[in-house]
Amino acid sequence: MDRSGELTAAREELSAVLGPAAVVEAAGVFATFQRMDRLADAAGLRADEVAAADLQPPVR
Amino acid sequence: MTWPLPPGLVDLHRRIWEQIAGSGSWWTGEERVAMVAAARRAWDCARCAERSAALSPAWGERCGDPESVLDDVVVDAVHRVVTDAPRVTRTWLDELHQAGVTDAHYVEMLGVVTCALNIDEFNRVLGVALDPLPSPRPGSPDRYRPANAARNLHWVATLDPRTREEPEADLFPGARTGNVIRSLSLVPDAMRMAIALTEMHYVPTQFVVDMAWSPGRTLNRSQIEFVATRVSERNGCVY
Repeated sequence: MDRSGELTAAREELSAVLGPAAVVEAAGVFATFQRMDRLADAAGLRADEVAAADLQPPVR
Repeated sequence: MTWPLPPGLVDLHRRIWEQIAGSGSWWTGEERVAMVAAARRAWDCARCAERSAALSPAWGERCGDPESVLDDVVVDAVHRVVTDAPRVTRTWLDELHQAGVTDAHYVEMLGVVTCALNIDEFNRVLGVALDPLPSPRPGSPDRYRPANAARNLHWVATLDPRTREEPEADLFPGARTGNVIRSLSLVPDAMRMAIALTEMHYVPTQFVVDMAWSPGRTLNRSQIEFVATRVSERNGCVY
């Protein structure tokens, strides 16, 4: 099965279980993270540094 | 099949395309639309495929497009963002700056490419044809750079999320905001596009880090985060 076929099958399965609105919402989240993942990595955002910055005051 | 799209979605996507077609802060409308065209071609780029399969992202020749108005160095950068973003390095970015693509040019390119990708991928998953490329509008970039942007968590300069001064006060509506979207704050209009898409397809930016908040639609927050995590894992996202 090609990727297009896989996608069609996945859409039909999700729609049958949770309804077409869930397919639309899942597509939106998928597309959002296609954007966010590339943005984070290409902008040099690194989780370790963010976690360290979030620990205010620093844990010792 | 006709999908039950949420109110405002079609209009939002139309407005994003219109914004991309106009001049930004650092690129013309023609250049911005050319970035979207380059991003769409990246999926079928043989050099991208070879590079993605190579041990080092520095391997191989630069991607290019003789028909594009963009310099090959920009086409190559767009392709890397689309097909090999987890292996973008600070050294590569420094070399890009030395080639004349400033941090602000780079951030605006990231905003245009990733927002267009967001809309394209949404349509693709629903089995809907991609929207046609918008017609570029004439005009010159305004070369606006926020005064208080500085390097902090990112390789590029960003605004402090505690920013409350105009004209950037709208970028950070809550006490906390996602650091990913903040990546675009050097070019506020690019960040505004990303905020609008994030609110439509995911959650409002002030609730990104509040996992107890749910949008009250068909998928609950746990299901949303499951999809998000699975996508990020498949993308090999470093962050």
